[in-house]
Amino acid sequence: MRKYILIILISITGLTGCYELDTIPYDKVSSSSFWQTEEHAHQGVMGVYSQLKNANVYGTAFLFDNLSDIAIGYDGQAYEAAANGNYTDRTGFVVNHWKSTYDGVQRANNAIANIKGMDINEGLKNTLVAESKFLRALYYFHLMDFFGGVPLYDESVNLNEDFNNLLAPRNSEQEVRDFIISDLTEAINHLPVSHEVNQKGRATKGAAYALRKKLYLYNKEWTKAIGDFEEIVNNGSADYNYSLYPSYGDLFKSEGHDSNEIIFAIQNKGGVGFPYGMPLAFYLGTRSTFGSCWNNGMPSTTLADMYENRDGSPFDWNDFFPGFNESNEVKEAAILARQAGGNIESLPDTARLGEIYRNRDPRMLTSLIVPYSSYLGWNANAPRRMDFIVATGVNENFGQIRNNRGWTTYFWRKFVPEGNMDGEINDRAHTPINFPLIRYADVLLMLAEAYNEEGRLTDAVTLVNKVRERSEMPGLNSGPSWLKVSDQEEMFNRIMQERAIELAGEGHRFSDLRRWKIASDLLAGKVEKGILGNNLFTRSFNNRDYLWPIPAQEIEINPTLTQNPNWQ
Amino acid sequence: MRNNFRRSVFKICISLSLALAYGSVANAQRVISGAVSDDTDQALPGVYVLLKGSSNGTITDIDGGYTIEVVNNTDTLIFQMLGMETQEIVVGNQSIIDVKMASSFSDMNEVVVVGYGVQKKVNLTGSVASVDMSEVAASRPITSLSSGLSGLAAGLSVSQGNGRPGADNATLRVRGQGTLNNADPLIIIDGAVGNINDVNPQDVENISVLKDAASASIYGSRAANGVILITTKQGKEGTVRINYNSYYSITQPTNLVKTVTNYADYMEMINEGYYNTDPNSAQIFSQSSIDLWRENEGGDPLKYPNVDWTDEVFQSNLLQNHNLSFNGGTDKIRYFGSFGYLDNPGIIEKAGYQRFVARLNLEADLKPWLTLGMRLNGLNGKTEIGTNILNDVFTYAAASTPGMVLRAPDGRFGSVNNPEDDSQSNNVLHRLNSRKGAIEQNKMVSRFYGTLRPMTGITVEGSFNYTFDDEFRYEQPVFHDRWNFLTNTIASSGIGRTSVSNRNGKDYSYFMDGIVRYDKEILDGLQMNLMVGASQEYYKSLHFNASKLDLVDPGLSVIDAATMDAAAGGNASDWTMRSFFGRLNLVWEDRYLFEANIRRDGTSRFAAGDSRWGVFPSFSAGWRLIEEGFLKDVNWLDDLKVRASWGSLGNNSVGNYEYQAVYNSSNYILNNNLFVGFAQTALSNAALTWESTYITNLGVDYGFYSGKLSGSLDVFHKLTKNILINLPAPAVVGNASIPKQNAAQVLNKGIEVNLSWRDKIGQSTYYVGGNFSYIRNEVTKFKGEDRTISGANLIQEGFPINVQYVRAVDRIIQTEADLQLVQNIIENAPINPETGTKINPFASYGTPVLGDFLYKDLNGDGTINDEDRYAVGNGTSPHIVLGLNFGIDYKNFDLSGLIQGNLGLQSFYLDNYFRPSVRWGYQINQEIADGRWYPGRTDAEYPRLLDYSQTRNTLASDFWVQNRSFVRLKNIQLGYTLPSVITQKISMSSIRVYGSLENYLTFTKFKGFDPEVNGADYPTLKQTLIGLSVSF
Repeated sequence: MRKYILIILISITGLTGCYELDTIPYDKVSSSSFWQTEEHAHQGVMGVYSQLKNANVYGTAFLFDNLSDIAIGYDGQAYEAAANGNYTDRTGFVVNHWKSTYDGVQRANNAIANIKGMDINEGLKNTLVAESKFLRALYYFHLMDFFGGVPLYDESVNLNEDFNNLLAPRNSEQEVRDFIISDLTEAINHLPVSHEVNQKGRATKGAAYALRKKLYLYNKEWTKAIGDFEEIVNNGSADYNYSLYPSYGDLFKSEGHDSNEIIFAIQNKGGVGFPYGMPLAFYLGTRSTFGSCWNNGMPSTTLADMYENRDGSPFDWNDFFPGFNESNEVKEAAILARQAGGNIESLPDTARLGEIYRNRDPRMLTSLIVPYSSYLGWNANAPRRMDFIVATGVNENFGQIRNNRGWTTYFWRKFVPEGNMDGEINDRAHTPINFPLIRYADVLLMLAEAYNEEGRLTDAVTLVNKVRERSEMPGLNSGPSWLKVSDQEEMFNRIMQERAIELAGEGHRFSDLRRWKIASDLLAGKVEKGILGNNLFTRSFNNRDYLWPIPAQEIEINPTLTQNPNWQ
Repeated sequence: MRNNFRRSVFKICISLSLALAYGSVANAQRVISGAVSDDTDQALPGVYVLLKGSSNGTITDIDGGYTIEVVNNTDTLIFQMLGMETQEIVVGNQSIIDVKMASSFSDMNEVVVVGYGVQKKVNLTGSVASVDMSEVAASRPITSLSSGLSGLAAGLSVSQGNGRPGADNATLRVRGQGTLNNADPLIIIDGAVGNINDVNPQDVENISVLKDAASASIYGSRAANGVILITTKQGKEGTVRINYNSYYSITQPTNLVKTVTNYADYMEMINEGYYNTDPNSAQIFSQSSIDLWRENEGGDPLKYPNVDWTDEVFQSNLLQNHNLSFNGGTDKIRYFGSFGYLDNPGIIEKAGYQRFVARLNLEADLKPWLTLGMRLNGLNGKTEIGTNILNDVFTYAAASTPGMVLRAPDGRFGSVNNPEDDSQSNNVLHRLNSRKGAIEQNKMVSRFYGTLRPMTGITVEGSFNYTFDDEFRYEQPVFHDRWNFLTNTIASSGIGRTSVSNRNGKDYSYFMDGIVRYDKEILDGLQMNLMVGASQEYYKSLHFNASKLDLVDPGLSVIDAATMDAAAGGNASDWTMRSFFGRLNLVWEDRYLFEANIRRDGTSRFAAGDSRWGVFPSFSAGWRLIEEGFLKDVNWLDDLKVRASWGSLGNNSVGNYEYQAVYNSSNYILNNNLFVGFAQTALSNAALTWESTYITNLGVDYGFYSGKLSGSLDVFHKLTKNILINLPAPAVVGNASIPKQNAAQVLNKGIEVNLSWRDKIGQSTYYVGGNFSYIRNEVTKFKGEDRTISGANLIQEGFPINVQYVRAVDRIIQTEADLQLVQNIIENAPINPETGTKINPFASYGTPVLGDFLYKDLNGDGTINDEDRYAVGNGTSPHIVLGLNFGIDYKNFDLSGLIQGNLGLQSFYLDNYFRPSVRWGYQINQEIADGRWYPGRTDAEYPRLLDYSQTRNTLASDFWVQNRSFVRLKNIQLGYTLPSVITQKISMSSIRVYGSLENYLTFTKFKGFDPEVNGADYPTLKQTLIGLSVSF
């Protein structure tokens, strides 16, 4: 009998503990329960914003300048292979920019499709859809800028079903442009002029106008561009309240990065538990910067020499050291120091050099770290004054700034954190400085350009002078012969120069050089040199480089995609 | 399990002999006595002596002596013992009969562990390889069970991934790689799913490898890659035995890659590489530095170092292992217990491993109808925290220069001495010493089981298994300065922010099953065995981590001792499975064998409904020809069986929640505050379901010459359908991960041969065994003509998985004549019809100059580009795997060895240790440096040195595809057992001392670290060992 009781008992034990065959993830939201509430709609749109920060979208846009003549870089993340012509249709950053930017497009598509069908406040719905369209426009703009006409996918895509079937051929550049403009037009119609303070950073009507105008400008539709620009500059249908922030230097620090000059910026935050910044410190800072950084991006000597003298006249080293431009020995005599183990053995005439650098466009000293200036860095777990001594064997442990690549170059000061930003920065890859994608000075210079193209020279000069005036530089046509501008072509050159200086490090130059179709003149075969005149590398730029290649893998999967000219 | 069987035979015989003792009193006529010994004149206790045709019998005593009563002269005595040839002797008029028994090599009664049971080897119809581990593990320095299996079984390929202490497990493949996903076989330890490397190798009795569908399908949905069944030791009735086994071994790396160590040469080559790349660029090292180092060659090694990093990083160490075990039992209760200690410091500092394991296996026959048992296994492992950064060792050492003292004799760490060198260059020893902490693992594996025998022929078995694995990691940074020893200044200061971080991970698994068996002879000579069962499993893992900055005192080591900036994280994941299974076994007259299995599995990894449940049937049959009349008279043949099987298996190797569409957090910042965001970063595929594998197997088992020569031959066809693969979706989808799809199909065809010979010459016995497998792998269905290329790996229909897809190198351009070839290609280039001008045939990779590769225009279109690639090799696994083991006993000496070989594996190898590139602050390979092209050279073996960002010579090409075939003397050992006269004097039953060499000789042409190791990783250990084994 007992054995039967036992058998029954064991069977009961065996049958009771049944494990459920339906399990759900512990850390994610199921799609069936998402897109229900207003909060979900808001969260979905935040997901569209966050892709801006991806390193292969706009997250390292400050390194795009390395592709132009005003900055140099090394390693993959700094587009070294593109600068020296060694990239192909399989190179990582080419593939990743394509893929990650489309990721932003698809996030926007998904948000638009879902929010449209939600039963929420109509006004909020329209704003959120408009924001998503603004962001989709930004993503497509980036794709078009680097790849030309690309296949267009809108909110009718359902990725879970269609992920294998997105095999459309390329749309023309004009079709893509029209698509972006229609998105921006809708954004303009539904976006507010400003958001509540605690929502600062979201897309606004002004941002949509500015971006639409930029598209017109890139396409040389001057009249349309002027219309959109004037709307926000002259406060056409609303009070946009944009103005130049008084301090150019502080604009790229916590002080100014939220000011009225910023029309649209990627919002960054650092600190423990807040990995929501961009790697500004990491790639622009040096070993002396918080977190011991890599200076993958450096201002070129070309840029440094473009900064005018204080009086607006062009700068020339030969005016100070005869033979400087021609002879590396003269350069060494003027700039090179000797040190060993942190002890300075000899110095050049640093007082003289200081004078030369101080007597330049003030934006030079706020944007660049120049020889024999200092920078508040971080070393041995404490803030420390770091000196830029031009010598072999310099080291951050001696309180010196060292080039991680071993080159002798200028360094970026713009965007690079000082000290530990009073505790705000905790991770070099997450610098808590907002990164402007569109700011008022850029808008003024773009409007000036459109005016100039339309033959409105005086209007153009006025706007450029506004920008110069903020940095205490004498205006064009303000007296001295060297500031005289008399025709469209001269003015174009002035605008080109002003954009390089004002927007240095913000990643606009390469796009500018290409849309102006002067990239090959300035870049092909250009030997980049260090401060002491030594050769660093030789740039390559051929006609094909006006566009990046469509990734080879993508063409293998979707043979209807045609490759860009000269890439096959 | 073989012992279990022996035990039962033993029991039957004892009861038989006792029962007959009564009867013999009445019929006693005369008494025969004698002694039984083996062919070396050792007394044989425990031999069964039976009177033929009666039930009278006895057993020999400790001295081999016996007495038995017989009736008349024509009576025949039978002498039987397992492992010995049975003898029959007619009594005649003798009164003393001494018998010498010869050992028998026939294993007709051998049993093999199969899924949910055991089976006589002769009755097997599936393809199963059985390995008796008790001897293998006893005296080889096997620190992980998986790596100890290499070369032991046909069809099982073992590749040693790396030699990291505590993580030196090997990759196991049963019959090749059948899927594009995880192809690890299913591991069952004492009946429940487990981790092979948690078992103390010395606790293992037996391992069975289930290779075909017939034997594995009882494990259904996870058995597609084969099943490995591990049985731990169980106590034996009667004797109480205590074993102590201990060994010490000296560890060394097997093979290392040489880098340029002469710093002056190194500087010149760096300059050369940069000059080759861009003649305009500045020289990195000045002539004065180069001269300075040259002048001081052999001078002060601190100031002017020429460092070989491998000398500094790899060190010989002493590994030790101790194991104490006991076993025994009565007729009611049996026990086995063991305690083991392993200390493996490895060959890289700060990354050692220590492990304690304890086991208790207990089983009691509580009632005639009830047996209960439990098996408990506990493990405590401690890994030094350096293990966590072992990958860094190889990346950091490559990103270092020979001009750096890694560590001065006084313990200070170095930086580069030459100010022109990259002061960011890494110091691998500094890196290893940059943190302290440990990873402590506590694991418990428990199994409770019971067997009920409610009525004759029926047994009911049930078990509950619970495994708990806890890993606690503690680490904190340690700060050391790095010195420039030339200037004797601190080059980088070690000051930093103190912190503590902890991570705790837990894995739980629950497994329970219930089985009913029914044994019956349903017709005369037709034996039936029926088994049905059900099981369910639940697996959950979770982890939690926290860290905090700024310790109040750097000597403290817990989170509460830190004051600032805490951060935390944690997550969990789980999955479950429920299964029903059954088996029918029919044996007719020990001649015709039939088996059918079926299993139905449901898992949480697939959506409810059709895709969740899978059914996996199999059938097999065997014919023992040896039992047939027409073979009875063939004396030299003592076993012959043919068998055939077909069945289906599954594989559910997808993520736990992959069929579900989910949104991941993707947050953004507004007004300097965090706002929660979500984005769909993983797409879903609700139609996900099992991969199905169909295996057809034909086999022959044979034995000749009284079992001296035996073996088996298997031919198989293994087709895996619906393979879950990541199809290459268009990149316009974005970064969201693409769900796997049931799309591909892979075919493995192969042959396995096992052959062994056992015999003796004079007093010595010897054996030689070999196993051989040949596998051909082919992707039979992928995405039509489409292919996936990742680096040099190609997946495409008609090719083996990950065949190397590379450009063909025609030559290194070294002479004017070679240059003329380049010119000819340019001149003969096709015309672009659009522009009317000649296409640049070298547009893709650049026009080669002296010292560069000239790639072949394989498709003959006049241009050289990606379309000129072709497939080389056999994919990711070797297609021939060989194992050879041999042994010989002579008097008290024993010698044995194991040779392992893998043939036919070719792979593209190019990394920071082996490339024709230079990079400031990075190492240069010595062999490539010696063979490189430079101006004037016409016999270069390698191309010229270029900056690492120049890829023209480092593209995936057949030049860099290397043959990773090797033959390795895995182990050879010599043992000496003290004569029993001596051991008995000190009341021991045996004492054996032994020495062995592990991984000592390797024959290979591979130029990387180790043909078994992929890329630069912890090399396999070469060991010299001495050990002692005592039992009493």
